[in-house]
Amino acid sequence: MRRQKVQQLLKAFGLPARLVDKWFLSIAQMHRFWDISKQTSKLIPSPDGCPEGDAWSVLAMLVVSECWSRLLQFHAQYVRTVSYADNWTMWSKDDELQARPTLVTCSFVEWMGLQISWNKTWLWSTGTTGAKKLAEVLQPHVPLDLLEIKENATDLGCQMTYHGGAKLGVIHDRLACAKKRLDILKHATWIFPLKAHVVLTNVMPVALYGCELLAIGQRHLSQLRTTIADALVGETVQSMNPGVFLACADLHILGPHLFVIVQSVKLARKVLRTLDNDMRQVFLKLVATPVKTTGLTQGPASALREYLLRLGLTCSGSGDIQMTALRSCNLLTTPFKDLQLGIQRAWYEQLLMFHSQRTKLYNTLPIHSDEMCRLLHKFNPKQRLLLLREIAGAFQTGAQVSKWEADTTGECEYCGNGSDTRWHRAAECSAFHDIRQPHMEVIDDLRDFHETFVELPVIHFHPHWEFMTRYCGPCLPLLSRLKLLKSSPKKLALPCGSLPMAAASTLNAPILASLLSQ
Amino acid sequence: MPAIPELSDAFETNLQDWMDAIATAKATSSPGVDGFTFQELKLLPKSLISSLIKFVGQLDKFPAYLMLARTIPLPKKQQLSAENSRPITILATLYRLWGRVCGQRCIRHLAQHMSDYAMGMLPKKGAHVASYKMQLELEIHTVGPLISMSLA
Repeated sequence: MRRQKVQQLLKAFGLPARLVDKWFLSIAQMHRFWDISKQTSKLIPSPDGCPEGDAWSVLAMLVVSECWSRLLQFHAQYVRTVSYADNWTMWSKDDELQARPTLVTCSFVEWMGLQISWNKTWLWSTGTTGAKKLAEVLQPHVPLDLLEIKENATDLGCQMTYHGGAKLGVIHDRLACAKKRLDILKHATWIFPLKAHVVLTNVMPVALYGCELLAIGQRHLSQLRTTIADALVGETVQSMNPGVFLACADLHILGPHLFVIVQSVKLARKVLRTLDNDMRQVFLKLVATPVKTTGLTQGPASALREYLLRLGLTCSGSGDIQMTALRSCNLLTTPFKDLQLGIQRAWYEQLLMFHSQRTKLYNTLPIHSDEMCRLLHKFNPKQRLLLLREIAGAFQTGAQVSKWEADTTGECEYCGNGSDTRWHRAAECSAFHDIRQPHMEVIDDLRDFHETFVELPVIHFHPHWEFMTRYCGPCLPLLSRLKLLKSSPKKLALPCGSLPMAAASTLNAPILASLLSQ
Repeated sequence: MPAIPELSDAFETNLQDWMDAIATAKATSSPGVDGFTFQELKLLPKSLISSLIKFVGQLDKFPAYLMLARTIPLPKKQQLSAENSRPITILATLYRLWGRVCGQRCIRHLAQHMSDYAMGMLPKKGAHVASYKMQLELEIHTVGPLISMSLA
């Protein structure tokens, strides 16, 4: 890169002339020497170019690429460009196809003292014939034998789709890489929270980078989720539900299904805010328009539509997403925290129905993930992991084992009387009678109202959660909320988000009673 | 090209800018020929940093003995060969620090005057957003043939 030209450009873009000159005069004196295996070369003068480690080289590349873009706008207004450092892209419509933009680019590049790496350059078209037509136009001017025509490619680390259906491409490799990391993590003897942190910082960003550009199939996400859960547990447990496990494991999102949806909404929102109104409307229209086929995506708008559909949500042309019967969020104006809460809530509504084989749980209320994580954080990591295994069904009772192993009778091994089910152990087994005795009131309540609690011992959303958060609000005094709960048809309703953990998690009627009597 | 207003050069000796640049620098970065490490600079009191700023601010250009650049080839695919290497240049620590101070302000200035589709190193215009916008263009418009090029 010719420094003198860069110097002129930097000044033209309004950078302080004195500082630009200082850089130019300093760098003019630069001498390089090679340092290879502790052997150094002679000093070599460096009359041209901007060294990569220098912050000024970033400024240089920015002004050069911007200058190229403006030059093309001047010579060929129909051409549009995108530049990212030294990766430049330009395109035009079929009927405006000309060699001129390429020729102008070549001249500019030569003028700047740069070179085009033709072997890293490719042609593409969104149609079937466009790229070939362009190749014909460019034939006399560029080394076409080095140029590939691509339908999809990895550009700036993301999988781009130019023509046809989206392909996972580099995401396949990333998922494989993430699985390798998870395999290592699985055999590591680190404590549970540390493993969860590693998953969040070193696995999820690797596996799901660029997931907003195309919808990743649910099978891939389910496989990744199972691998993450196995890595956290430290072994493969066939009977464990990884969805339930990850929902209660950490306050951060560890489940890949939910992660990609939240990321997709987050980036869409970020980019939409930078787009002009027309583009924004087109984007939202694409998200709002239903299509015949699900699962096929052409870009970020259709990917967002697909991801939202997986939660049973749709986005209107104005960006409104009806999260629940009473609550609607806008993609652009609602705070992201509220959007995320709505998405999480929608996900947990689906989790037990679509991501579990345990038919008993199909109609249970959604898991209150946040409250559950807060509750489990009160235990030490080892206990937390054991509790999570219990919640997710990693331990099998005799009745479960008897279904797949002929030698097991399924009788309770502690009392020898009755089928070994979770309910039997919690409420009926005579071997545990003494332990159960002080808690008979709770057991009776469980029997009357919440039998599934024994199958899935988690905090659920309150059945009237939506009404309570909408009309009572978080500011409603605790006592009023408890009184509201008291007037509920179910006297001992399962805990809701707005209740204190003491009352919510223990299901202890006396605690509730004492609070109400205050 | 439309006229772009010139940025004032007063920030060159702004103590806070220097402190920020030192604080955000990687402590383990290799030192240049001047021998300073960023770890050492992080330990300097404000009074010494002020003296350093004054010294750098008075220079019309960095002296030739500070502009010696160590060039190290980093292997691309584990095995080091001329084809499979990416050379990195290590300049003097003081020069790099001055560059960081200037770079931060200049990038903020450039961000205000660059077109929407100039990406990279600019605030809120990272590689991820660049790819997203490009793919969105493709999805929204039926764009025609395109040439994508990479410079060397």
